[in-house]
Amino acid sequence: MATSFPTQENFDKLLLCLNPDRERAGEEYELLRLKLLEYFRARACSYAEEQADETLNRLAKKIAEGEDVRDVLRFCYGLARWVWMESLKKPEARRVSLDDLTVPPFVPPDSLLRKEQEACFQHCLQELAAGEREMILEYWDHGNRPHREARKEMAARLQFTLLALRIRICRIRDKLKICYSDCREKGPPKLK
Amino acid sequence: MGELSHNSALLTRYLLGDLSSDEQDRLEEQYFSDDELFIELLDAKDQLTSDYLENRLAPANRERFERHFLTQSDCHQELELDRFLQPEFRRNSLPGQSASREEAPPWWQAVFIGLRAYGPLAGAAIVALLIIGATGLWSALRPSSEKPGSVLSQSSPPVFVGPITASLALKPGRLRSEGEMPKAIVGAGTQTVELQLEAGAGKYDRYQASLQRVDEGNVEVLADSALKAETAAGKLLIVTWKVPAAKLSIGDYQVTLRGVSADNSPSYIGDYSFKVRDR
Repeated sequence: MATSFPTQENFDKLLLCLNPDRERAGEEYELLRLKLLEYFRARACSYAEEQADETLNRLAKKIAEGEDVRDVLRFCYGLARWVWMESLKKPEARRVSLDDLTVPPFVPPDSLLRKEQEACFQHCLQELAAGEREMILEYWDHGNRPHREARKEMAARLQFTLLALRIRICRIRDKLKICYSDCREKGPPKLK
Repeated sequence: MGELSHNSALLTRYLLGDLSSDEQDRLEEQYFSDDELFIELLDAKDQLTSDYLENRLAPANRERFERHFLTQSDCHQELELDRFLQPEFRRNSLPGQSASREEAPPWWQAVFIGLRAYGPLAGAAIVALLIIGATGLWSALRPSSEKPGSVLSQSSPPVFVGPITASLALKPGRLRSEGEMPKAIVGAGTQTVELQLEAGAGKYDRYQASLQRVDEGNVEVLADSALKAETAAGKLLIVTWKVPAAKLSIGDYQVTLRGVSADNSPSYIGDYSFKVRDR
């Protein structure tokens, strides 16, 4: 059974465990969630987001129950392994080898769908605040230079650490993703 | 920073699901504790995505990438977003995105840039064209009582008004060789052409339709992605698409219809041919 979302009090305890500074703790939490997502995605898990949230909910619960957590990140890694092992026992989680999966085509052949996707992207990009739009476009646009090198420079110029820049980009991407997903479901404004 | 840092080949192998179980466990345990390594992993993932989208991956890695990323629905949509974020794609495909992210100058500025660039003679020509254009526009827009030919309709042949809504029931797959193509008769007063597309028995969440002008190289003239089906006789479903008549001129057309299921995957249903005539 899924662990319930922590109460505000228990969530605050988790944040405090991550970092005494509330803002830094928020960033640590977002980073930890990203790590969990990568962990579950590396296992071709169809429900990576749910599994990541389940792990975080269990972590909050353990901390609230007074578990002696000395290294919260290592502890969380252990929990993620546990959640993954449990998920394998569930009947709906019959694991299929990656080699047996049918790969859906990525670039759709028809122009109508392509146009719709482009229209949604444009619409969602315009929905972002101007500063966010500039930031995410610059994050990807640096000629032929490797991402890592260019982003180090970008972070230095904006006076962020690479980590802080990445977290901001993740927040912007999440906004884009939610808008894009909604737009793809309902259709872009111009095509409605 | 751990021993695995800066090993982009190892990180790429991890992302492609190409590490042994032990190697994978070790790397994961390490990136949970080492933020810098994790950021390196995310950068490696972005690089891999860019390489995939710009066809720079070796065939074997390309296949691994597709198996790993395209079989997970949320990754599939993230990849769609990443594709649009690639600078190459935005430069080549998306309208209104200039490569340098500079705003295009307004039209009046463009005229003066033209004047500067091509000298006084070209400038004079542009100004003359503007004056002619403005005179023509004034002539077209001034009150009709001032128009010398305002009684033109009296001597013109009668105009075919046509129905306000022209309806057309279409079946998929009808080819020219199968006989007379369905014909929509439109006139000056026709506002809408209602296409009733027979869509089989399997219902989808929504339908996408694309209208193409066949006799102009199948150029798309209109698209709609939020159409719904209604049950007609028996289990037969009909998708009704109301096309503004202004979008249609005399010619041959084809509609391509697709059903879109809850996970947003489209399925081809059929092509429907018809022609538009004024009598």
